[in-house]
Amino acid sequence: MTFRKDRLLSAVVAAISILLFLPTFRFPKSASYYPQGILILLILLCVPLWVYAKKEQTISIELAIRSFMTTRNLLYVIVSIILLISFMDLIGLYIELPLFVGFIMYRLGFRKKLPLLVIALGLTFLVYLLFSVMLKVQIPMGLLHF
Amino acid sequence: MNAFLQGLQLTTTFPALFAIFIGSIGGILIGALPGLSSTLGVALLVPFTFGLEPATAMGLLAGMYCSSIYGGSITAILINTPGTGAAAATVLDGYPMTKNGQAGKALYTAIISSFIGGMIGTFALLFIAPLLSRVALKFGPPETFMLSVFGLTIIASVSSKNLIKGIMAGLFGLLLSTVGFDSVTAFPRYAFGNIHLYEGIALVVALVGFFSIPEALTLVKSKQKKVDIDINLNKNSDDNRLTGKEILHLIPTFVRGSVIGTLIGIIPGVGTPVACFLAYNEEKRFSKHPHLFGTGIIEGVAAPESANNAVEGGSFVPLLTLGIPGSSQTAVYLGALLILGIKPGPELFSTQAPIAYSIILGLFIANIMMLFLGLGGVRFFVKIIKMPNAVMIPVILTFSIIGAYAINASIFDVGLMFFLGLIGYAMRLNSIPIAPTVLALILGPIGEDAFQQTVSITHGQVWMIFSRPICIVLLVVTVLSVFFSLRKNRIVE
Amino acid sequence: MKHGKMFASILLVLLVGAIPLLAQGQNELEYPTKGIEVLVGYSAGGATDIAARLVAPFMEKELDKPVTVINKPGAGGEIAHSATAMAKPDGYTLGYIHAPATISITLNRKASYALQDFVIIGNVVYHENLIVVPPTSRFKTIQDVLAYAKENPGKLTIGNSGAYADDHLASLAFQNTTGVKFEDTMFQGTAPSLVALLGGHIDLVMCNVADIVDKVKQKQLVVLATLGSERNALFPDSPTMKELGFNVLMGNYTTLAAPAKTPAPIIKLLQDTLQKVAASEEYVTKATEMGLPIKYFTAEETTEIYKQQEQRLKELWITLGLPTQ
Repeated sequence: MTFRKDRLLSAVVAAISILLFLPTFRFPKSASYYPQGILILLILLCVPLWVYAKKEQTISIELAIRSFMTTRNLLYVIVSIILLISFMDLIGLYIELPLFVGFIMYRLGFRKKLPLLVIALGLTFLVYLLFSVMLKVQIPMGLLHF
Repeated sequence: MNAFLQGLQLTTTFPALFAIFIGSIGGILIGALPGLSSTLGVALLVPFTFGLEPATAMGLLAGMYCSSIYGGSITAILINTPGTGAAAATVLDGYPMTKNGQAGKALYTAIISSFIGGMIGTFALLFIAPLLSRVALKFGPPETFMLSVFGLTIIASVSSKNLIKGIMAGLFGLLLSTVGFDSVTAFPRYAFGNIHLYEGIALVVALVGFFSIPEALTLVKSKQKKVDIDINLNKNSDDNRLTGKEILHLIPTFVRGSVIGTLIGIIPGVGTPVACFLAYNEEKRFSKHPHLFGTGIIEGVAAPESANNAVEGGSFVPLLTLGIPGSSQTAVYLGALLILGIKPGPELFSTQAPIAYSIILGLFIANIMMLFLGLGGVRFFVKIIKMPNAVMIPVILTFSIIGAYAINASIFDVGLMFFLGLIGYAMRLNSIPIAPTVLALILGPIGEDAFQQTVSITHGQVWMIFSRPICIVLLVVTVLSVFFSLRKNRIVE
Repeated sequence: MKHGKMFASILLVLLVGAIPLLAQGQNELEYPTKGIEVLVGYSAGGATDIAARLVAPFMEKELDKPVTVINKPGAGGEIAHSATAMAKPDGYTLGYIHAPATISITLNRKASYALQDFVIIGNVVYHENLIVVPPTSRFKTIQDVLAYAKENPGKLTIGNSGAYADDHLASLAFQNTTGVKFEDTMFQGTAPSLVALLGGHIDLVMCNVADIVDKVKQKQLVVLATLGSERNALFPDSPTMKELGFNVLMGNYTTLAAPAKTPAPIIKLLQDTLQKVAASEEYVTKATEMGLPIKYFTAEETTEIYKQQEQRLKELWITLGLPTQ
């Protein structure tokens, strides 16, 4: 199905705004007016957005999904980040970082094995120096919890 | 005068100067790294000030403060990712300049503007602090509210070409700012039961999420080996430096930006990012070629960069004269001052004058130090773009993740940052500008809190605020601003 | 005879087996064997953080093991409180709780912890709430304020550091006891409320001792009354509401606590350690230098204080119909 890009956007924004309206009913009165006002304005603005949607800018949902799925790199990066965040507590950042950096560098085309290792470990070490040693920021240690 | 000379003596000792140097280098680094804010930088240095002489301690913090505000512009210009909130407006013209091959010029503009802004702000602090502090006090909740309303109208001018999408982006930012405790009833709005959202969305989390992640993802998708930018490394090319003629041309810009920055600095609670956007907006308004803003012109970099460093000097006014911080960085300063036994307030200049002057002189010297480091570093910074994407992307992601974590030691914040990043990426794909969202996210809480306080003070009769002179002025300015930008949009669109 | 031998050997085995059991009763407590973490619910540089970082090195000296302060800000302190309450009760995770904040959170909303989840080690900081005005204010004494407020209910604006924060609660308790009505104006922290006060935009501010000690010294502010049980040495001319006949006592307690199920001997050791630290001259000197209003109360005293606070706050909540979400 092909849509004018802005029309799809308009529909999505309107739908989400209506959804976000529901929680506001449980807010205390004085606290609810502000978010409700914002949402109403958003929904109102969807109208001119729909009307003035340019005919030439269209988007086909099938093509978009197919293109997203085949852009392997994008998928890899996003999934890597999600995994990194999910397991940060368990595994610890300093173990995850070199794996993360190395993996992404490799997938993005950096194939020289030795420099890859050096950069991945070096960056992790730099982060360790800067944050844990110098700035004493508490970083999740995960498995490295001595 | 005697106290001034004594202050000078205190600040020009070797330890103090060395401290300023170290602070400045650290400042540029922390400022540049996305995810590390200048407030965090100052806060992290405070423990190092224990046991130092006051002038040395102040020098360390001054170096960090000054340089970190400048440092944010480096990454803002080179990789479209502001290193600190203060550089959020610098991406608007800074990155386009890099795309046009003028990265060097942009960086030189940034450092010189930052220097001049910092100097003007500090001069104001030195000479007219008492006068300015009286102005600061006149800014009560009604004035702050009107100022935020005016600030929100700036959304129109940073929406580039699409006004509707810009306003929607702004509304989105306002909505995000409602997450968390409401100021009157302490009800956690839109928290969905998650206590990590009770205090709302931290600005740095949003900044990193909305700028760094979309930039990284865009680079990934582009499949390019390197950023497709023609960097002319010829030292003498005009693209790589700021000519004397251009500097002269920028003088009105420097002055405008610095004045705005200083004034915003003296008003407690408003902060640096607001000053940058305001300066950018005013620059555009007074410009003979407003439609060029956003395509990469030096005024677009000079205005916000001079403003954000001028805020620094301005924010010390309420700190030193009233003992009340004018920005989040000076709030940290206040803690450090008290630990050192320095008592800011009306009696500071009578009982501890030499120290007071040494603080101000520390700022001057920090500015000069920043200038040298910045000027010297431009040639080095520009090379950053030459890094292959395969390396730059993980580096950006790494510091974004750590930066988001470091603020509240919260893994949730990292997840939130990424979630906002995905939304930001979707916004980019739909040509929805991000600057209005960030601006609204900053101004939203300021405005809503001020509004609630105004309701409280006027006992519900809010229209009473228009009997106050500053409010009337701000109302007129706001109306004019909206009127003119609507007119311009209809003509230029 | 065979039975006798078996009986004797069983007895022998039992006796031998019992020796280690008996010996354990006389063993030294095997704690601490590693570093202790203390959770603070606010960011570095805040009042609680400063107090925690003052106490930590002294405790470290006594316990001979590292004591690390860990900041876990968020949800007005709830994240740290929750983390402390749910931590492994082995004595290696402690946390700071507060009255009234820690209590009011449980009353104001469905909190992720309860007051009973903590066992108190000792109180570290205490400072009372007080009302300040600029020296140019038309109110020279608290009686002036009360008189005006009686004639003009709801007209006087009093700033506080946040909705249902300790200052706001103090103001509500004050109004409840004296019978006058103020207009409470919420700010994000005490500093902005003081700015508004100095600028003449609001009439009064309710805050704590530590917030305004320097400003009173520099004659920027005047303390009209305090809500302590006796006059504060720093403000000898400011009466307490109690001596004026209004029994409203409100203040801020910063207390060291541990998860409730932590074994009693460990708690006893920690309580004694804190008591020793609080009595040490070096500690007191350092705190005074930093302007920290330290005030040690023993675990028993503090537990009693918290019980009373909880009671009074519950009553206040019901009387004033405050939201419980």
